[in-house]
Amino acid sequence: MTFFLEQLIIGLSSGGIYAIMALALVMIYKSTGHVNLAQGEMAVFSTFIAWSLVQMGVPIWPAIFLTMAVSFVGAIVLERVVVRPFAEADDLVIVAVFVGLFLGIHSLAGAIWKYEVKPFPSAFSDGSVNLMQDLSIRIHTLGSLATTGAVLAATWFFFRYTRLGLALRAAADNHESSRLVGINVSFMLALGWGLAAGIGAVAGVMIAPVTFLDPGMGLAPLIFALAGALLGGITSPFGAALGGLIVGVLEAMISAYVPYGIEFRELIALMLILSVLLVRPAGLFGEIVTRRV
Amino acid sequence: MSHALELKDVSASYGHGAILHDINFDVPAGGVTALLGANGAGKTTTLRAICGMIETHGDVRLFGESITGKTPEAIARMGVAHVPDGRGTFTSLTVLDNLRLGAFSAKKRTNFRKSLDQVYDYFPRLKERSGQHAGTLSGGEQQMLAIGRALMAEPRLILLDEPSIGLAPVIVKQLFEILEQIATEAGVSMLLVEQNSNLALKLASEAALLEVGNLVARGTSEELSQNQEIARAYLGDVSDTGAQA
Amino acid sequence: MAMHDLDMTHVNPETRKLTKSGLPLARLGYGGAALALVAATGVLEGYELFLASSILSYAIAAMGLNVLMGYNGQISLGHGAFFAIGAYGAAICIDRFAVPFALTPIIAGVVGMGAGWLIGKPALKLEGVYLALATFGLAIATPTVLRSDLFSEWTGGVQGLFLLINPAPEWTGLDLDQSIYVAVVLYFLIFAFVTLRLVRGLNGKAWIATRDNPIAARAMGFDVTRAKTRAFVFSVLACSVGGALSAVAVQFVAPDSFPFFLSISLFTAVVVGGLCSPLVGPLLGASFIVMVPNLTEEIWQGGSWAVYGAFIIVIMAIQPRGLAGMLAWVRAKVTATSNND
Repeated sequence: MTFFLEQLIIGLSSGGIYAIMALALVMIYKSTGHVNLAQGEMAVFSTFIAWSLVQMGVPIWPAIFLTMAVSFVGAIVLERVVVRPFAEADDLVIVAVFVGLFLGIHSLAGAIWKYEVKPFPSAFSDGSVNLMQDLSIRIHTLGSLATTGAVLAATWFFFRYTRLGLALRAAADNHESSRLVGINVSFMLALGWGLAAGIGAVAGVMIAPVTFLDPGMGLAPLIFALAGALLGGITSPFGAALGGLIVGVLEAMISAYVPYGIEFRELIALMLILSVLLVRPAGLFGEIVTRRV
Repeated sequence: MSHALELKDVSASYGHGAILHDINFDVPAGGVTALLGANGAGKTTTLRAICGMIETHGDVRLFGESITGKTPEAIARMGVAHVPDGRGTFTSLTVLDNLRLGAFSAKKRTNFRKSLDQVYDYFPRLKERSGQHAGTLSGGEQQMLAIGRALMAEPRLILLDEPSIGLAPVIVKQLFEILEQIATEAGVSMLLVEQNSNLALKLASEAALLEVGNLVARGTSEELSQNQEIARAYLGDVSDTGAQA
Repeated sequence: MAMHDLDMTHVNPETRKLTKSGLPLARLGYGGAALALVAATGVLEGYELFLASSILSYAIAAMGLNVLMGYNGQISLGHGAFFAIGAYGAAICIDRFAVPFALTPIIAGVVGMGAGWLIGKPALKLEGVYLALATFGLAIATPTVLRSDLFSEWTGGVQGLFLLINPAPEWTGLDLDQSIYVAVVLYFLIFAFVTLRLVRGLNGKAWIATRDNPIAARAMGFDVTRAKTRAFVFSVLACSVGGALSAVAVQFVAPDSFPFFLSISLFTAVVVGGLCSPLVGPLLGASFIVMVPNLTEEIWQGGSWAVYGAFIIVIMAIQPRGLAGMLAWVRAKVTATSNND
């Protein structure tokens, strides 16, 4: 029983990270209709920035916030310069551009920070707490879970109660009508990228103390986040976050209880993606998007 | 006489075919002008040209100030509210959020409450449905929402694109009564595009008639509806007051 | 605007030119190229032969993927999985059953098509970006499966398998590198012939029609599902045969030879080489993905990723039909100026 609880908490904690990543995917998907395949690499790049700041002596929390700000601005520039010119292009061209971005960001991270694995400090104190008898959990695991909660709550508040959040939702819903009520849609699309990169950075600094930091660490979280986003519905922020949590728990359970589970986690995520796309393409909470013919 | 909107030699084109050639007409300040014509005459294109959504040549003036070549969002902030055809509501957002968005470019944000009360006053239905997603509304309610959203901006000019389309005659009648109320009480200038010319000419003081991208007649509503030739050719039988198919 | 249009509705210039200038001349050209490939056996040596074998095996895979992505418009980011299946199929054939290496691509192709059927059956119901997402997942999942202890008895696990390859019989006078190269050239020529026949025949028309407008294609009497399935199966076949040949050329397979990056490389080969250029595009693309890592990795680890990324984005911006498209453009310019003289 305690083992199960332990796995559940670990699952929720990593699920929270997938939830944040999934949320980042949704932000870009909702406003532009593109699935950002480079999201994982962007988060890794941000994490390396945070690592460098910490190396320079900046305390971890200020480093995280600074990283979020830098990522926010960087992603806006990226959207404007690289992605925007292809906004109206075919699916294949868009996918190719995202693959190009993926490769570019990945190798840039490799060139700057090299390919050796680095430890990354936790934003919380080391050690663990005894939740009950025989059940001790790392403080980082709990802190990461709490951070997820905070990010989700802040995102929800932003979209629900702020003028800018409303404008973003409007731009995601209907470009033309948004312009007609005076919203600068073009700016909103870039803003969506900025926010996605900002919260993606949080996912990166939360997962790095667990997996260690190296340029290739973004792949696995990306596929789990993608599975989560598709499961919950890639048009629904709430659904995608929930989907991320479910995938995290599923991953922990499969690793713990299924023989060879750890080796086949990614394959299972793939199966999940395939079956969701086939059985319920809109996901659990998404809207069905009618395709242009 | 001052004009809310003046079009001088306006030409525009987009997509395949829909083209305007040197259009001239105006909307008097505080008045209603009807823009009439058959399907494909260029009425919607004219509205899109006014609000900056397509490339436009010539001169479009809003209360004397040129707005040609400005972006739609800039024009919206200058006080032009557009009720597009197909209503253009934000379907995944609630009715209240739609109305909040209407006020997005309003000059004074403090007037929000007042504007909202006024809109709810005109359309009590929207108040009942304020928490509902716009996509779940009926056609008539969506049209009310689109007009309500336009009013939230405290606009100086409203562009209405076929507000009667797809609605039952009884709802169309109510809608036009409210539009008349808005025009007379609030003093908002309107440019009304309609296929149902009888309804439009009753509401409007002036009218312009488009035919395949050219302006073929303009004048007061009375002049246009009394001109037998025009009436027969473009406006349908004047005695028929119902909504046309 | 037109710069991002992937307008490939028209028969590609390569094809058009051939039909205009008359088939006999074109056949002569192809025959000459084929002869040159065979003759290279005697000219190239050791490492050069290995490089040429690698390029041709990747070109076979790229030809198949080009049919799927270019002609049929289905996006796959995961065909490295089939390349790996082909490679492991060939490796196990040689390691366990001592099958002559030249025959292994046939078995690998059959095995690969089986796997392709399993994955393609559900995956082909997905459209556009969604197929790309699912195959992206496939690309990420493949290396973890290869590394698994569950299959290590067959796959050699993380260590992989060394392949003992016997050269062709002595009377041929070919050494090991030459034998492998000759086999690769043979398979390449077969695939080149089949690919050209397919894309220029009714299948090609069905693929293009399905890509450009499925509804109209259906109305014209094309079986859209069958067209998509055929393109997918052909691409899987080509990738597994390419994988088998590449395993033979390297004489070694291990999970690290088939990373996530392999799928991305194949995608890059097709996109950079040139969509809808049936022969020249895959050859250019394959040369690109073999030569670039060779040239860059010594200078800058991970540098090939940067070069791929930059090439993809720049090519999408200026010439979505890739290097082959640029080549055709240059050739057209040259012909135009020489005609003006």
